[in-house]
Amino acid sequence: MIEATLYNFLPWVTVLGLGLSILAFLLKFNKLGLILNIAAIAVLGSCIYFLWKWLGRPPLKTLGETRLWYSFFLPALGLIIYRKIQEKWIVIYSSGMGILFLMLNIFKPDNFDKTLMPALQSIWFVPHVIVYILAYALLGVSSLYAFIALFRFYILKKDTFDTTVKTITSFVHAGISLLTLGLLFGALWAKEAWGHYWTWDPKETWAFITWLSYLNYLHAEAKGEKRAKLAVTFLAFNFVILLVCWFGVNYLPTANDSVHTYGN
Amino acid sequence: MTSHFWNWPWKFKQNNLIFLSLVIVGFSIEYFSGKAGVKAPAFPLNFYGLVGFTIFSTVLFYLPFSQRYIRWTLSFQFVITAVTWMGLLSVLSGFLPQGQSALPLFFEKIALSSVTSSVPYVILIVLICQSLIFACLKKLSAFSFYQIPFLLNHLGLYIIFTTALLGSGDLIRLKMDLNKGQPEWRGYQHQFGKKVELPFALRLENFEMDVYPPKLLVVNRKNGGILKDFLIFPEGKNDFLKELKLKDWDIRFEQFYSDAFQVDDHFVPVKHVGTAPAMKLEVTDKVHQTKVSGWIGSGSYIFPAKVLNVSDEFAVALANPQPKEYRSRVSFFTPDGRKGEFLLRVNQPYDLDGWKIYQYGYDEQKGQWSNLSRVEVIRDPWLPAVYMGIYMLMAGTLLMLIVKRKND
Repeated sequence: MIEATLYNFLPWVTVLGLGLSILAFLLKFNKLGLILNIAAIAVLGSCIYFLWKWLGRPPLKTLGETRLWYSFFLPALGLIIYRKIQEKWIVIYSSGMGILFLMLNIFKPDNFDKTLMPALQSIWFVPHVIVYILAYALLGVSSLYAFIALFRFYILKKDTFDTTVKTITSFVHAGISLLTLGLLFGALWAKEAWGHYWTWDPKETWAFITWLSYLNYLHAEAKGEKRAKLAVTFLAFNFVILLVCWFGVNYLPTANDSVHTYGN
Repeated sequence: MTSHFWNWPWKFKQNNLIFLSLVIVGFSIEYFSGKAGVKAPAFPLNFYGLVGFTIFSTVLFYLPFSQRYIRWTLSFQFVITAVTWMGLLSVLSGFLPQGQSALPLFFEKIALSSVTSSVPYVILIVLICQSLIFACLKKLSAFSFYQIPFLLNHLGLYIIFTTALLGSGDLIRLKMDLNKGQPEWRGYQHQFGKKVELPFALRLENFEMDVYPPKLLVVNRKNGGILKDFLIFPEGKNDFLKELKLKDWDIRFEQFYSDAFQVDDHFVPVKHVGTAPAMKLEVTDKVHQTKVSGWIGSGSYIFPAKVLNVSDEFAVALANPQPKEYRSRVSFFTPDGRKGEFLLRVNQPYDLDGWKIYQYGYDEQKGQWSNLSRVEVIRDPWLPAVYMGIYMLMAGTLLMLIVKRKND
């Protein structure tokens, strides 16, 4: 019974809340949309809290569990950006992403696995994964902006690259900082658990490639308006690399060599 | 003056051409040298290399005739191109299976199965390190507090790359198989390879494992495949579920023993080496209108698993219990007569004379009854240097998060 509540009922309520919120925004009932959005996020937050208590461990091990956090942080970040720039479509997009990941969880559920293998019982487990999820959420939201700016340029023939960069730069910086911390936390954890801080495990390799790709963004952004288009292009392209690192590693030919595949 | 392709300023075309050539040259060196990959020299050569490279780069920064080179490595296009090519080579490493015998011989010869220690990769790292140190020197010449995050990030990365790469020359990673009661002083890299003598001996006194309760499995009788698994111990309760209602089956659980021995077709609770979990249950197949009752057991290395056939297609079985925590009580002995004892756990290595000892594995066939503890012993004298780089990069990153930039 409690499993059904945690894995089905509460996520569905959240999906409903986010969906109604999107509808409200589209019909120009912005205040109602905002209230529904906050309520939906709160429901999901409580769902994660109760799941944590029920499992007896942080719900950060399986892919489905990390999707849950992503569905929480992405709409939350959308709200923060909305407060800053008052453009409702960012809430619509981030809520949409939240709905997508929740639906994935509902229709392709993980097994209710409570076991936490010895290697994961470390104080680094929670910071390493949380920092990465936050980073992915921040960079995901920023990449939405990047895709929109590219769409505006190539389809609508409007150059909005400089304003795009200026709007989201603090989020990208935060995202890249967290990405760096996640990478380094992982290295420090690896030293304690597996003997060496870097073993070119496929997940590590792709995390490194993702990190490098965002270095390109940082250097382009530092050049200002001259390289704004390149910076935005990097931002859009880098998100693809990020997705390969996040999900793709499990499907690559090198998947069997990775210590990161057992969680899924 | 006629425009020439190689006139400064160099754009992306020129940079990409240079890097493509360097990578081709690198792989050619690999092919003709016959040795896959570059191995860093041991102390003191690697240390002289680090000091020499740093001093050489610093001097180069201030010499008049090298200014064009400096200008190139500090240019925007260089950085983007270098980082991108490093990413491309890393993608090869992330795509192609790495390690010995992972790829056909030709690919192994040109180090495609060990990309990250190959000549082209090292060339890229060297160039990037030069750029990093030049960038720091340039910032230092007009120093202000706002530059501290920049310096921490770039110098930190420089230190990580150089010390990790050069330090690998002194890195020793070996595994040891500790059989209960038998002292072992040799380690190995590959199971059937050469054994290396170590400056200490270890002896496993005792191996212990705590396990989670086993899961219930639904198995396909034709191919042995596992269709679904279920938890039979609900969270926070010490008692097992009494019933489980599935789509086609109703299962009633009658008895569970965490340690039992099979006698004929039932189980007797005994705590003894080689016993395993067992469960008595009754399954009602609602589709075929049948009911079966009996025992299932996980089995151990002493006796096989026991399943209960529910229909022609499916059976229920008990999975092997998953490890919750395992630890080894180990004694150590050194040539100068010291001895002692320690408890080794996963995630909690032990320090012995500059060596770090890790709980690595055990005899998985015997599971919780393993008399073998696998440990990994590592000696990494350059670790503090790498950590210094890591902490510098972390500090620079945190400062980027907290401190607003000058042009925000």
